[in-house]
Amino acid sequence: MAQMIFLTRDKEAFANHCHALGKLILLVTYCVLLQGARPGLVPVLVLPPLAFAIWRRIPVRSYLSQGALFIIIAILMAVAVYEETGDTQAALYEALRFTALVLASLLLLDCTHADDLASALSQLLYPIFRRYSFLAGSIVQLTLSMLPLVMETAQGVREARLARGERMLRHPIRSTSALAASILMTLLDRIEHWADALSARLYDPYARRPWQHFSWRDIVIALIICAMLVALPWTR
Amino acid sequence: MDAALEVQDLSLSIDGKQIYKDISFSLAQGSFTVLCGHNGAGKSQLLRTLKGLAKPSSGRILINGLDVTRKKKSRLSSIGLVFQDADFQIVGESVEKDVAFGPINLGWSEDRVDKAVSRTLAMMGLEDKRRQRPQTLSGGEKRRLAIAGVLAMEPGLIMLDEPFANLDSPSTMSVLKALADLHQAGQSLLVTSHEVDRFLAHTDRVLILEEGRLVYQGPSKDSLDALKKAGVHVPGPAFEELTWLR
Ligand SMILES: Nc1ncnc2c1ncn2[C@@H]1O[C@H](COP(=O)(O)OP(=O)(O)O)[C@@H](O)[C@H]1O
Ligand SMILES: [Mg+2]
Repeated sequence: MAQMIFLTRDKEAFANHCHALGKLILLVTYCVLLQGARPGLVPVLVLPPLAFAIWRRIPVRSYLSQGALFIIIAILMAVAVYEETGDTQAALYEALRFTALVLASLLLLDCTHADDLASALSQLLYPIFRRYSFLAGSIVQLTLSMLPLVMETAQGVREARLARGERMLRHPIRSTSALAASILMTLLDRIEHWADALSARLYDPYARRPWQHFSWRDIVIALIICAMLVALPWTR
Repeated sequence: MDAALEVQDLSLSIDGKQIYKDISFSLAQGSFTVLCGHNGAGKSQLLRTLKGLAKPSSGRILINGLDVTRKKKSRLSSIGLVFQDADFQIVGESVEKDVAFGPINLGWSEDRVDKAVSRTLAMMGLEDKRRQRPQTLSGGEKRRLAIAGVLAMEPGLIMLDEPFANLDSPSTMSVLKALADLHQAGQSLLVTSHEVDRFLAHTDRVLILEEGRLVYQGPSKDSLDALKKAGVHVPGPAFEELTWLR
């Protein structure tokens, strides 16, 4: 059974009680800031999410083992940038930028329930998209709640193949593509069961979602967002 | 009183393949029925059709005397189905959220949802796991959570597909205890199983499905011979001894 890092840890903490919409906008603003920032600033910009991660005591070991995929992507990005520019520092900064984005997103999930996030998204989109905003929320919610299923399926399939003597290293490309295909097949089958289970319990993706209430905490979040927006021109 | 469920000449084929044919039976209000048959007999497909997840090729389905063959929505809401694999039906992040999922979809008020969740969790002995992640539960607890998720929607009939499959004996006992309690409380139940070891004594009626045909139906007490003839494993000599609970 895969451990699930993408699941929210319930805590009586400030971050858990903030409105999901505020946190979502905070994340988006941070991403914009980070993406546009000049390379020299990246190490500084990484500090806030890092500090927050330490403060929240995220389970480092499971983050590392489960987030291996992201680490591989970060390394690949660094290699690609190095190939292109021949600049080691630039390559490192790119990898760092990506890692910070992933970390910040995981932190949001660490303190925000998927359904709160989904309803925040609907709340944001509702003025324009009306009932389709609820569908968008449902898609986000389903995707997030499917992640454990995906990871568990992948792990199960991989172990089943290893248990039957497959040696990944001998034919890495063939093994990897066969692995991906069997993961996909298993996943499709599981998703079919899952869709049955959802309709058996009368799931309606267009259903109106309850909206969270704002509190004084969200003023703090709003102030941080404003500060980041004000700082934005200086980071370019 | 009208039957909780009545099925008349129900048939299903998928892509030209006959899955089951001319199935007729009825379930009395508050009865506990077991649908037996070997793997591949068509039990799961029959339950899926009754629930409204598959469309029968022909035949009629009546709930409380009303024809609902063409009313998928009303079957979806008045018949509960607990799937064989509990892992597939967990949709909530926590035990209580999972149980609340169905009632919220039914559009109930927050207050009513809360009450239904507390009541069902208590009935399934899961109150102290409310805030736990479903993935951290044991096999028996997961199955009881799946039952709770269906029970909370207050369906007139609850169907369970192989509720004892892949469980160790303490878990089997906990699930059987939960079902026996529901039966006591007057809930109509339909359970499929490929073996009836030690739970037949709790049921009222037996249906035997063989290769898509209903070959026997009768009171559980009189069904031992038919079960043996159908090759369903029945170890103990006496009907009363067929229970996990003692
Ligand atoms: N999606 C499907 N398409 C075609 N045939 C199916 C499908 N699902 C099950 N079957 C067939 O229907 C028959 C009954 O299956 P099932 O209801 O799962 O049996 P049981 O639950 O009694 O073990 C089997 O022969 C199976 O191969
Ligand atoms: Mg089956």
